[in-house]
Amino acid sequence: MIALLLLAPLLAALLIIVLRRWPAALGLAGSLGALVGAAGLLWQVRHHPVVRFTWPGLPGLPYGLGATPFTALLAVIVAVVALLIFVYARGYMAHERGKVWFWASMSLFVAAMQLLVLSADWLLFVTGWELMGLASFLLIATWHWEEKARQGAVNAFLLTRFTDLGLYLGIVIILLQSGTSLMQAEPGPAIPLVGALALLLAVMGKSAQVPFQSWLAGAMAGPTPVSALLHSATMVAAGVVLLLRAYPLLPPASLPYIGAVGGATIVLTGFTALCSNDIKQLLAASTSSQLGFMLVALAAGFPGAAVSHLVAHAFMKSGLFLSAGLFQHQNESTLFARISGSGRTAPVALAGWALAGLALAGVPPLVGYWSKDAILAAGLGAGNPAWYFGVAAGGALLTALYIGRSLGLLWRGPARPAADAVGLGLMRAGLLGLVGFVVGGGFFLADVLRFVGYALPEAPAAQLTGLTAAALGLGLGWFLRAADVGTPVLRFVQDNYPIGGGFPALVGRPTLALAAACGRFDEYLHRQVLGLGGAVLALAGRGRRADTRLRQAAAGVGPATLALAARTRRADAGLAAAVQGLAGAFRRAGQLSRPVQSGLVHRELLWTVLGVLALVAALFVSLFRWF
Amino acid sequence: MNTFPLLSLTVFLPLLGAALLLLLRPRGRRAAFAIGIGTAALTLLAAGLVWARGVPGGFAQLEELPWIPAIGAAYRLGVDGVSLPLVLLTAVLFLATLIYSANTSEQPASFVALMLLLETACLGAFLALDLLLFYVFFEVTLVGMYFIIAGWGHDNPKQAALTFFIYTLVGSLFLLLAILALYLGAAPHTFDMRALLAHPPLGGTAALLTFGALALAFAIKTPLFPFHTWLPTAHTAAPAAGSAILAGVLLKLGGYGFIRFGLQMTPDAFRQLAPYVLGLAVFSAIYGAFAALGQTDIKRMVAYTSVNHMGYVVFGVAAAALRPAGGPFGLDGAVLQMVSHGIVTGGLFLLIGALQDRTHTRDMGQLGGLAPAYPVLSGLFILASFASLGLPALAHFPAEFQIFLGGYQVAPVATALLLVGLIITTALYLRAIQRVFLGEQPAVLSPLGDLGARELWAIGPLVALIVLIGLYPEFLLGLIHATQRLIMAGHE
Amino acid sequence: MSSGGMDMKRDLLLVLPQIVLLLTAVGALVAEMLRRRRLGLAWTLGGLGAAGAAALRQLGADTTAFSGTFRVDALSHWSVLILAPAAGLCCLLARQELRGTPREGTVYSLLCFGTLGAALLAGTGDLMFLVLGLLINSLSGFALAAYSKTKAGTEGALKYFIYGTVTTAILIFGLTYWVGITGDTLLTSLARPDLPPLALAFGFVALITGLGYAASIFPFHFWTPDTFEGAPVSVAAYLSVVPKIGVFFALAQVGRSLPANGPVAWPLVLAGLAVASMTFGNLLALLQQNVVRLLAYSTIAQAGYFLLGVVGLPAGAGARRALIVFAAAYAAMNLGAFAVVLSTGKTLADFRGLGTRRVFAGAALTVFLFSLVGIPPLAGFAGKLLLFEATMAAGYTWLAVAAVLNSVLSLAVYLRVVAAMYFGGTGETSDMGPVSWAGQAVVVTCFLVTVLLMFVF
Repeated sequence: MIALLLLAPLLAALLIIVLRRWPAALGLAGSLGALVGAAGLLWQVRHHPVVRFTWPGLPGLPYGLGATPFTALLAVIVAVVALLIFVYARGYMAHERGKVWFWASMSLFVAAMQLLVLSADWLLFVTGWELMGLASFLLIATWHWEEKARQGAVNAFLLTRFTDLGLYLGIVIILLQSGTSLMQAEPGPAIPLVGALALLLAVMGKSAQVPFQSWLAGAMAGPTPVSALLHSATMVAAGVVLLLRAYPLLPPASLPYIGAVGGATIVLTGFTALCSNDIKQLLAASTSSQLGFMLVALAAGFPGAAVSHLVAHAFMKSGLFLSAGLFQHQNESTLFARISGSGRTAPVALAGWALAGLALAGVPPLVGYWSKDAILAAGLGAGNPAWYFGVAAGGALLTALYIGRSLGLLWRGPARPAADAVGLGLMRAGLLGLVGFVVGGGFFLADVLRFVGYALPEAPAAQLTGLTAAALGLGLGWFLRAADVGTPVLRFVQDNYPIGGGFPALVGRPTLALAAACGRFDEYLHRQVLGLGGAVLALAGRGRRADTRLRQAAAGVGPATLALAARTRRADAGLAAAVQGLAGAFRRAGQLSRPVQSGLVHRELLWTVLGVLALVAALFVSLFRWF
Repeated sequence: MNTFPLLSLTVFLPLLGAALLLLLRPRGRRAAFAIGIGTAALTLLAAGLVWARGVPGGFAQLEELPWIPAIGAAYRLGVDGVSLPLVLLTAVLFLATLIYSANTSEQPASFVALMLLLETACLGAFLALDLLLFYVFFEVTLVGMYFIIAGWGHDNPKQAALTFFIYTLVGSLFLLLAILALYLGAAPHTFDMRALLAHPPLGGTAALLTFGALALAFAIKTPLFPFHTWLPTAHTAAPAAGSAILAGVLLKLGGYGFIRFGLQMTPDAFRQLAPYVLGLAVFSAIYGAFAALGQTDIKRMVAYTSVNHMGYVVFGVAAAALRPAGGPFGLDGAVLQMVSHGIVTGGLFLLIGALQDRTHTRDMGQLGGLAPAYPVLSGLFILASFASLGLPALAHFPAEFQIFLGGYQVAPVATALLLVGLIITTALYLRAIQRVFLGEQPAVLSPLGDLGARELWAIGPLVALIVLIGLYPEFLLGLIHATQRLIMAGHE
Repeated sequence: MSSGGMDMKRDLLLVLPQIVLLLTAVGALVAEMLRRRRLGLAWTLGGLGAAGAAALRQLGADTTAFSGTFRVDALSHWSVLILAPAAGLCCLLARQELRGTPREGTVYSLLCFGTLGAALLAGTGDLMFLVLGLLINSLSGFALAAYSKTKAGTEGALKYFIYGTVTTAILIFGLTYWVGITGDTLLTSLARPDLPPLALAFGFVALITGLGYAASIFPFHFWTPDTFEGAPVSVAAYLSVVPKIGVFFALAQVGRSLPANGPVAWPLVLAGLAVASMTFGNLLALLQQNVVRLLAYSTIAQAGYFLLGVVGLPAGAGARRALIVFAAAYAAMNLGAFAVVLSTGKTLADFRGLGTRRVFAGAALTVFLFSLVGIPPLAGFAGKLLLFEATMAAGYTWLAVAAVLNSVLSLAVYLRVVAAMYFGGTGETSDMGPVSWAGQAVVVTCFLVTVLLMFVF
């Protein structure tokens, strides 16, 4: 079953690349296969709670795949959401360029997410994690002839890859501590705080938490099904899955950090969503904010609440995206200025948006009501309820506000005739499927969670607060206008708080400048090395002159040395005789050399004399030793 | 059958092919490359047989013939888990590059003969178990590569070839000094590497100096900062096949040398100086990444990433030298990284060659939109790029991850710094992909079209290997690990 | 000592190679008088071959002749085995260079005389033989150096002559001290423990002076570059090889008898001279534009390596073998280099593009030069390796290190020529006329020896 689950989408991706034909059909088939596999797997784990097999990976660090009820459930949810989005995309992409690229990457994306979900060891986990990054890069760049898409794809991959370094570091620490790559059923001692923070960094990047939330906005340049997939059950969800997997190993000291990150994200990106002028940008900011809820729940010590919101959010957010895509398809734009009022002419899209949105705002009995309740209850149960509960309640209010505002914007405004778009039927089918889960899912949420081993916290105060926040927010939000005022503060919030110019100015440009400097320095270095060789050759070029000068120097040193020698010769009679003999030879040599006008021989002979004297001196030293 | 000199056959098969070429002097391109490709394929087969015969860990399949008994030098060959992966890499890459360059029209017979000579030299260097024999093969690689760059290069090949020649010759001179020191330090004097490995002969200052000479020699070959400046120059001038071999195989002689000589023959000196080597390797890796990011020529860019990747190799070896803690993972990773880098970068250089054939430029500023124009070429390049930036499931990941594991045990901060190299590499490849392959399709396309059969036959297997190593590294790691355990146990 | 016909006959048989050399020289002279040059060349080559064959037959013997005054041992045998072919190659070079000139035949004869002198030096067991060998060698050398009557040639020859006479005078003067203190002229007498150290030391200094000039040891080398430049290339080749080998073997014979731990610390002195020679020769060679001068300084540097072998003598037989192997390697690579120079030109500019113009000559010269550096597996490596070993065995590790470092330096020297051949672009210069079979034969022979020597010794 696991094999079918993983291989179906993977094979689909490969076949699409190789055949370059029937991309949508193959993609759908793969997705269907994955769903069958996932369902089968869920059936399997009903009887055997743990299915696991391993094979050799790195020495001493085996690979492993496996399923627990929880991961099987996740796999099913991923498969369901993916299949519905695929159905929708069949219509959405019907007349777009780059189908092969799109469908192959989508299938790869799903395969990677399933690998991440089903991995039973850290190496495969990181494999799925990074493959998903690659697939998201390709998907965002589907329309790569647009500058925005290229830039968004690069930013997304680069930013998440940067934070992935934290994952590497964290996994290295985990592996070295536990001695094996397999995820242990019995958790060992907690890892050091630095490891936990490294993992948190990876989560912040993948789940688009502050300050790394901006890549998610850039990723909107991709086709809408991509956004839907990215924001619901995959990609951003991977960060929370990582935290859930690592949860038993996290030291208690790391939880406040997680809570702080989640809380800050809820509030900051919540405001971004509230100020957004673009329906997809609103959803992007909302995703970060909702994932912040899950972090807060985890930090409060209630992973069950986080899981429930993860599941609920998958359906709600993909539903929202799919209806946003319908609006986009009808109006060729995602700006509120261009789509406001079109809700009245697109009942299915509006119904989908309204249901999913109300669920997100926490309106009963939709699925989001239950999960948001759980998180608020988790906040109350935390060690520091003032902070956790406060931030969760504020977040709920913000959520309701921006949903209410978006409903108001879609309903009011000029009536726009529905454009004659192609493929709307399939798109609506996908949307309706998802909305079905949003509407009905809430009734099964608690049971399903109990089945996979998580309990949902409950508290009447939380329920009351949630309902109040939803009602208040939706009511107020309805009357909020499109924020077209170009005030700097608003723009700052809309653009995800680009402090000091944001990543391009703070990191991107300095890095490129440093790189250019390195490149120039390297050329300089190379020239220096070449110059060294050239200098040696130049030295050789001056060979003759140097040679002459050396001889002249020899000629100068010679007489001086001879004078010195003359003073020392009295020391030994035999030596004196030798020197005298040499002096005679020297005179004769001088006479002989005159005819050829050399004048050099005698000078050089002095060197020889010097050499003889040096030898004598050396031997004298040895003689003293001997005496 | 077990006495059949399979190693010698593997080493000298290409030389036989070269001799055949010189003997027959085929006029046509087809005949020359038929001989060349046939020989390279047989060599790969022979290397595969060596593998099939089994390499348990220590040196196996030994062959020994007296050569110069007067000075204790002999013809000694043997294979272990460190050399066999490199031998297989060499055989694969030479076959691929010969297939790839089968359209060389300029003096094809000489080109093939030189390539085959180079293959013999590379295989010989990896399999030699005698210092002198190693040195001779080591030098011949230099000569062969020089002529390939000077004869079939572009831009300013003579200048680049000269730089390459002088640089590496100076390096090999230091190697010679170290070899002399090892020889003279051993009692009785011998060039037998196995004896020297079993009992590292030198100690104290002599060992430190010898290791210094070895480190310098192999730092130039590997190359490490600041001895790397010959590399981009040589790559820019070399033909695609030459670049692939240079990066894929010749650089590995440096890494191999660090293991076989530095780690195994002067272990104590290496351990003493390992912190400095570690530091240099980290700096080299990061510097190489930054310098690559600063390039506009795509080939120079890939050349600089070699500085980065080979920095990881030296890092892994140095971590192993600081045993016992960092030993196993670091060394395993370093050897696998050499193979991965050979396959990935070899493939990348061939792809860049194919790209240059079509666009006649390597300036990334002038390129763009090639993905819709040449989907196969672009797809393979993107895949190889992601392999090179260390994406899991592709060849570099298992190697680099082990290097990080090994490094973290001995030097956590240095390892964290090393990770920075990873993100810079990512940035540079993404930039390259974005500028060269993405975007609107160019108006004028080359009549060559997408990758042809010749190019696919050359590059396809390399890409398959990239995925295979990424998904199932055990098939090489099993070999490497067995030898690594012996090495580490021998020096505890 | 006993006397009698048997002993005399035995002694004469023992010096048969030297006698053959003498007859060859005389015969060549006769041929020249008859103006039969080809015959003279043939006779010379045949005679040299016969001398070599005679030496080969005696290989393995270790005895003395003429009451211990001449030693018949490995050094004397191998000196003939190396010098006779070397002289033959010099004759071939001379044939190419001097063919048709008036005194062509005289050159063959003088080459043989010089070789005879060197062979006598190599087997010397007696001070008289030492002086005799040196004189025979030097005198023919003077005449050869003065061959060309150009100004440079005359100046070089005169310089050589003056140096030769002065240093030989010093040598003879100093050796009289040895004769005085030992009472006889046998080298073995020097081993006596009761000799006055001062006189012994002075004699040794004189010996080094006299022999050092012939072998171009620093600081007795000053004649070398000028003489090489002025003389015909074939003569320069001869001067760089034959006298040098004779002298170092003679030094080795002295070193065999002179106690190393005695009053005269001669190995230390020679070690110092070795370092000075190597360093000085390499540094100055680096500065030369003229390839002949470059090779001249290179022979000074190589003389330093020869000294390593003498320094290592007290440690055992390894040093003697090292000397012999290095001598053979040196003869091949140096003669080969000169042979290529002869057919190419004297300045570095002449070598531009040689690597592509004449592929074999370029490759051969590269091999010779790399062999001079000492890169494996060429002959020079074998010689130097054995020399290093011998030096270290004698306890002179620092000397071996200095020699190794000098090898690094020498790479730069020789690489300049290689760089000119392969990287200097194509020179406009034409070669020095057609290459004769004789010159080609020399290059090929030297090439083969340089490449293969390691595999056979």
